[in-house]
Parts: sequence; C-alpha cells; structure tokens
Amino acid sequence: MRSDDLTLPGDIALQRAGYALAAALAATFGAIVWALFDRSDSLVTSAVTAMIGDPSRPWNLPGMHLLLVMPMGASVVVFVRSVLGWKTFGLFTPMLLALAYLQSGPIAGPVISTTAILIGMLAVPFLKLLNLSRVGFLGTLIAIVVSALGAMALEFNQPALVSAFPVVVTALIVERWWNAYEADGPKKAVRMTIATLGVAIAIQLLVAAPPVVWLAAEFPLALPLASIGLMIVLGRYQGLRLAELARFRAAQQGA
Amino acid sequence: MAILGMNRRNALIAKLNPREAIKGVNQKFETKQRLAAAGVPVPPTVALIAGEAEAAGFDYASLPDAFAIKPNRGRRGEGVILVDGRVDGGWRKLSGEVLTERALRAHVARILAGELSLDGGNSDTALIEPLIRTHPDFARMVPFGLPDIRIICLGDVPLMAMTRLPTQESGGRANLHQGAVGAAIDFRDGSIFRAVLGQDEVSHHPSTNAALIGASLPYWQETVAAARRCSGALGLGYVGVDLVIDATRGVQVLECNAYPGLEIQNINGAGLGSRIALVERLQRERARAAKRAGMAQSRPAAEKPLRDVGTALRDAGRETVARLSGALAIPASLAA
Repeated sequence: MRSDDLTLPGDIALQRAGYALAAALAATFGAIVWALFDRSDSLVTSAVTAMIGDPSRPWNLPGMHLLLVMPMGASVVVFVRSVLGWKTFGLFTPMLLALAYLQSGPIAGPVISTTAILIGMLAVPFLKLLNLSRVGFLGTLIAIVVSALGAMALEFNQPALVSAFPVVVTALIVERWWNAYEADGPKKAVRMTIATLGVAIAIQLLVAAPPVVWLAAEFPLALPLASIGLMIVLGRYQGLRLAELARFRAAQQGA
Repeated sequence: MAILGMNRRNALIAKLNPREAIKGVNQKFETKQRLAAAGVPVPPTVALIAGEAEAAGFDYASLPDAFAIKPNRGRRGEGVILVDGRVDGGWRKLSGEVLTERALRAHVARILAGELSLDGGNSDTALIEPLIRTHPDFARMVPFGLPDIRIICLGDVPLMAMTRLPTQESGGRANLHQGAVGAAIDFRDGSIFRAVLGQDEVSHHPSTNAALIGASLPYWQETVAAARRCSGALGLGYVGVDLVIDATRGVQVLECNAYPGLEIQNINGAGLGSRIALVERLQRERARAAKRAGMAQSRPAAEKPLRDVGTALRDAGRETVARLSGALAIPASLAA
C-alpha cells in the first residue's frame, strides 16, 4: 500500500540540495541588487547606468492604466494555462507580479521581487520546524518579506522601489514553491518558477508597450471589453494544450 | 479528438460529477458504506476512531495482528501506517520498524487533529482496516508493495484499465511518477498488453524481471464488475476506480477518484477521447430509440396521466392551490 512509512532515501538530500540552490540564487540576486541600486558606489553604478540606463527608473504610467490593462494580463494568463498548458504558481499570480513590476519599474520590479521571493524561500525550512498553522506560517512569511524589502529600500534610500509591493502574493509564491518542490520534485518546481516569472515579464512588456498605452488613453474601455470576448473564447477551448502534445505522444502513436 | 486533454476532461467532470459527489469520495469510510450498499466489495472496517474521548478509551490490544491505519480524509496514502504483526512492546510495521503503542496513540492524535488530512481541516477520524495482502498471482510480479488497478468508467461503462506495479525505485509505491511500472490491461481477458516505465515501453518488470506482456490478472471479471458499480453508487458520472486484489478477500475497491489522471492514455497507447465520444454516441442513439419505441407503443396512453393530473388538481381544489407556492405542489393522492 502507498504509505508514508516507505520513506524515499533521497528526500533529505533533495531538501539540502534545494536549500543550497536557493541560497546560491539569493546571494546572486543580492549581489545584482547591490550593483544596481547602491548609489554610494559610483564606479559600478555609473557603469550600470551607462549600459542599461537608470535601473531604478519607473514606467511612469498613469494609475488608470494599471487598472485598464489588468484584464489584458488576465487574458494572457488564461491563454498560457488553457492553450499552452504551462503550469504557474497560483491562478493569476503572474498578472499580479506583472502589476508589481509596473509599479516598481522595468528593471527594479523583476530584480527586487525575485530577491524578495528568494529571501522568503530561505526562511521557509526554519518556519517549518516551528510547526505553525497555515495562517501563522503565511503571516510570518509576509513579515519576513516586508522586513527584507524594507531593509533594501532603507539601505539604498529608495522607498519608491518597494511601495505598494504585493507582499502577500510574494509570500504565497514562496509557500507554493516549497509545496511544489516537496510534492513534484525540483525539476517541476524550477520549471513552474521559470514559467511564472516569464509570463509575468511577458505581461509587463505587453501592457506597457506604447500601442497599448496609447489605446488605453484614447479608448479606455476598449481593452477590458475586448478581453472579455477573448477570455470567453479561450475559456471554452476544449482541445489539447500545446504542452499535452508532447505529454501524450505515446498515447497518440498508438491511437 | 482521440486524446482526452485536461481542458476537455475538466469540462466533462464539471458536467458529470456533482460537487456533493466529489466531496463524498474524499471520505473513505462514507464512500465504503455507499459502495458496500451497492454491492461493491470494499475492505472491512476494524475500527473507526472519532474524537479524543474515543481515542483515549480505545483498546489497542484488541487490534488484529496486521492492520492499516489511515486518516478518513487522507490523500494519496498520506499518513497511512501499515502494521504486519505483533512484537514485544507493540507491533511491527511493514517496513520492519517497531511501532509502540505510544507512537500509535500519537499518530491517532495527529490524524484526529486533521494534520494528515486533505484540505487542511481541523479534525478527522482515524480508520483502521485489515492489512491487504496482494494475491500471489499478482504479488509475484513486484518486489514488494501493493500493486493496484485503475479503471476509468463513464457511468457504468469501463473505458480504460491499467495496473500500477511498484518497483524498488518507487519504494513500494504504486505511483507512476515515483517510478512504478504502468501496465495496460486488455478488457477481454485481463491480460497485460503494454507496459511502460517512465517514458519507455518495457516487457519485463525492472525489479523482479517477471514477464509482464501476456501476464493475466486474477479475478478480472469480478474486478470489472466491481468498477462498473462505483459510478452509480457514488453519483459520479466520470470516475477513476482504484482496486486491489486481496489474497483471501479477492477484489476490493480502495478508492474512487473524481479527477482521475490522464497518464493512463500513455500507458495504453490510446486516447480516452474517442472512447468517450463512442459511448456518448451509443447512449444518444439508445435514448432516441427508446423514445421512438415508447411513443409508438403508448401514444394514446401517454395523454392519460396528463389529464389525470389536471383532474386530480381540480378535485383537490383549494387545498392544493394554497400549497402551490411551495417547491412542488402535487396533491398527496397523486404523489402516492
């Protein structure tokens, strides 16, 4: 019988490997954050600015725009899930992440949110030792993520970077990452992470593209209304997902 | 569409599996009762421990030598302890470790607190059943662990079947993702015609080297008959039935799944979509034929009951009219 008694020998080693990976990534992103946003070191900062422009520049989009493009982001998520078949953490997490990126800026958004997620990930194994309830666990995680973000903002003296940052979404991503890691293994968890961040960045680039900004300004209701139609069509799609073509290759050969 | 994809499967489940029925199959004991009432063979219940008081007063010495203890609302075998026999100071688990009564009590407490249950509920009950020992014809194929059979049914029509055979690598678990072998079963005679390990077709079991292709499962007719009754008993139009073959009790339904996975198509090398379409077409044709036959035979008679309803309503008079605001006001004389 399937049982917890029959412990897989790789479990502990797997956990350690995951933790080492998370720590390495957190260190890397910490270094990136430092190089990008630390104003006291003029040599690195000026080099970075020369290469990619001011890394902490905002998108400068009107507040109304963020609201009007949300349905468009949702359409992308629906497309990705039911036509492409990519798994992401949570239903509309990529859309919410993209909104965070829009508020923090094209470069600062992805870098800072990834760092916050990685810091949260490092905290999870220790929180698990405390045997907290799920609410208690998530609440603590939220506080840890906020502390990390706050420390970054204070250190670099750029409070705008982290204002209105969707901390709860970050905490949920961290929690789901560990659940996926333990249930489905590192390969799937990493693949889901890449899909989530990739879709979020794609949504960010799409909804901040000049034609979309122009459309939202000239015909405010066009985007939400078009998204309704698009999502109804996508939501009724019952064919195979793109990812399933590869998954069911064996079944198709025999069929 | 030959292959059934996630989108179509989810639409099918939304149409055929009512919410209540889906909730129902998450409760092992209640599911067993419903299945038993419909004549489906299920494992007997040794004990059901609900609540701290019952746990405190429970006589653990009365347990049989071999049993399985599981959370009533557990998932995928989480929180299951398998006990194989008695030793000094407690029991021996199937894994060989010793289980003291204190450890068992602690496990029951964790189950009751809902820690090992689906949907993170606050409480659950502990279910104790006799340990299932696989039928020797089946057990000889695997190194250890419990092989099971999955049959997907649309209503009472079995669509596709496979058996999941644990390997050394899967640690005795009948889980394809953890390295168990999946083997497709021919409905006509219960023989294996295709076996898959991971992505590769195999002809022999990797751990025992037993020949799989052509091997027959014991009690195949009974297995299919048991699976066919589950849909009606549980109210699930599309269901994945998990069965095991016990050495002494024969076929037993262990679990019914309202969201059965699609991997079975890769094991069988065939799609579920075309089979579902065929069954639906046959059902439509049969319904149409029945309707035609019914109308041809009883057209004059068919009008009578309608007229009777009218007369009865008039006869019942104001009494009925007063109750008409209810959900369905048919006079008592007619309803009986």
